[in-house]
Amino acid sequence: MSTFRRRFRENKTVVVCLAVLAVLAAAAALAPVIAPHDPTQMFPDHRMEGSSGQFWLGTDQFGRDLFSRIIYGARVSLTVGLSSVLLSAAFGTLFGLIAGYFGRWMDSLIMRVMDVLFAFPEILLALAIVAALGPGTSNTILAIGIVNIPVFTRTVRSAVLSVKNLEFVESARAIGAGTPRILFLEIFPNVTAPLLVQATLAISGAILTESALSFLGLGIQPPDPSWGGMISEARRYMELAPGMIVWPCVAMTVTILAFNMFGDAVRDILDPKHRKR
Amino acid sequence: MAPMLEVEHLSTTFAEAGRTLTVVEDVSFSVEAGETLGVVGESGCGKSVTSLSIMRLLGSSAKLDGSIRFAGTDVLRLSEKEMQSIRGNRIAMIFQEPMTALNPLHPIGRQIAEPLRRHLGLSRREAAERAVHLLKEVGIPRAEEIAAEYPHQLSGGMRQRVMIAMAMACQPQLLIADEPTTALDVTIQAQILELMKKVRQEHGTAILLITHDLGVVAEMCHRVIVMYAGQIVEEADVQSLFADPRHPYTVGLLRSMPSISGEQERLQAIPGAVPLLHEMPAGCRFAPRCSKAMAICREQMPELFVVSATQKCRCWLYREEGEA
Repeated sequence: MSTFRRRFRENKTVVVCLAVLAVLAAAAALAPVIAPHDPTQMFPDHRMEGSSGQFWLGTDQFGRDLFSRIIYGARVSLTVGLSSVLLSAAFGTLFGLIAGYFGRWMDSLIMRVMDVLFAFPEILLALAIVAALGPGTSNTILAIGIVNIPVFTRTVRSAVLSVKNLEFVESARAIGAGTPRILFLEIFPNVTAPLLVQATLAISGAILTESALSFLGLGIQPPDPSWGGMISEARRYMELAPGMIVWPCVAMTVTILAFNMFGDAVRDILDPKHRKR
Repeated sequence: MAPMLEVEHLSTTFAEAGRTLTVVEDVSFSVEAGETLGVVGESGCGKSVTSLSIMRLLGSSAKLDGSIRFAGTDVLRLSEKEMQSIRGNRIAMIFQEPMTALNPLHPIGRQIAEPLRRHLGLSRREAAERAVHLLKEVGIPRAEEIAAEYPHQLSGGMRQRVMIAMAMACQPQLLIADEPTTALDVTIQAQILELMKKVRQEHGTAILLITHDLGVVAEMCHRVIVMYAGQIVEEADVQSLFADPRHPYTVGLLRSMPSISGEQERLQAIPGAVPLLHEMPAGCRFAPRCSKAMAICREQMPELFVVSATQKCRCWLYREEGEA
């Protein structure tokens, strides 16, 4: 574990990404403290203004403070990203463990269902689920969570397949361990590395999907701020107030870039095949 | 006294792709408390499958016939739950590969404590203390520190000691050792065998020692069964086996072993290879490779003839002797 930590610290990408993500997370968590204004409060006299001392990044068409909205938007993006990935990782891990360990018809059944889920374009499936359940934050999380389950199932299943026939599993059985014990205490710890990498990379995908859903008006509902929704609204005023579309885009790009690079770096650290030296 | 383990007419069959393969056929033997029975044979002769059958670790594709009586109870009639309470508790196993038989992500101490907590219901702390004690018993220095280390930090010999400590944790009545020294170098081998002898002496454990190393057999075993293509071809006490091997296959095995004292002569290999499981010859399974094969050998399977008070042999050469 100490070598892992040291490799973690030595990797500059990881440190930079982690710092960016920490700032984002802090901003999201402390939004009510940091934000200079209420994100839904309108200042009718200050519509579509540029940056100023009062409104750091300017205002939108209703005179709402962009900076405050972006910070509250980060809250939404991170919450949706993290909880949907947590949801899909939990179910994906469970299905993957069962499919990989028991094999045979259980494996065929689970993997064919996953193949069907996989066959839909990600956005389309999420759209369909949200359309069926109705828009809103928790339904968005649910939809994105379901869409990502197959990826995790496959990742975990393939890792289980490579671990389950190793001798220590048989040796665990030879000391009288039952199936749940072998599944969760012997095999599961050995699949956490690919799982962790997959989870980090999936968060950025989840954030993107959330923005896309909100952009299409099916995700987070106004007046609650979300980056996708803000971009969608700003589209109409692009020439009049470019800041309205630029700043949410910048926030999203930085966040996704940070998650992606962090995920890649974590893989480099955990996967011996990608390791230099 | 009844034997600790009594295997009678055990046959293990695997059903695969529409055909059935009999990997172990009509195997009978017994081991008493404090005794070591060697099971010898080349790769694929059914040694390991026999031991996994006794542990009932073969999974649902294997069909077991015959009876396996352990301390009076028929193992084949127990439920999986009852079997789990026996494994690691009253019957323990040592595996061939100490490199892979330990979970790389759990500390050594925790892995040894596992059967103690499960079978003896010890608390986390009691089990951890016992684990350190067991490590000391198998001769591991700095046991307290080692208990907190991970398998990759130990050498092969140390890991095999850990495996033995783990197997001995609940003081089993029967220890099945599947090639326990094959992956180790010679000096470590001797230490591990010495350790197993100590265990046998102190606890009266019955040991089933599976190996293809006749040197290990001579060192450890009281009695030996020689297996070929899923059957027992010769059963003897260890002196008779080395002094007066009867079955041509046993003779061949002994000839293929180098000796330190003898002159430099070419080792004699047994020609041919073990027949494939689904292409077994009609008569004696060794006949195609046997230098003494007769007409009857190719037609009829010989029985396990009794050739002396301590020796049985599955070969037509001993028919008269056996019947007399």
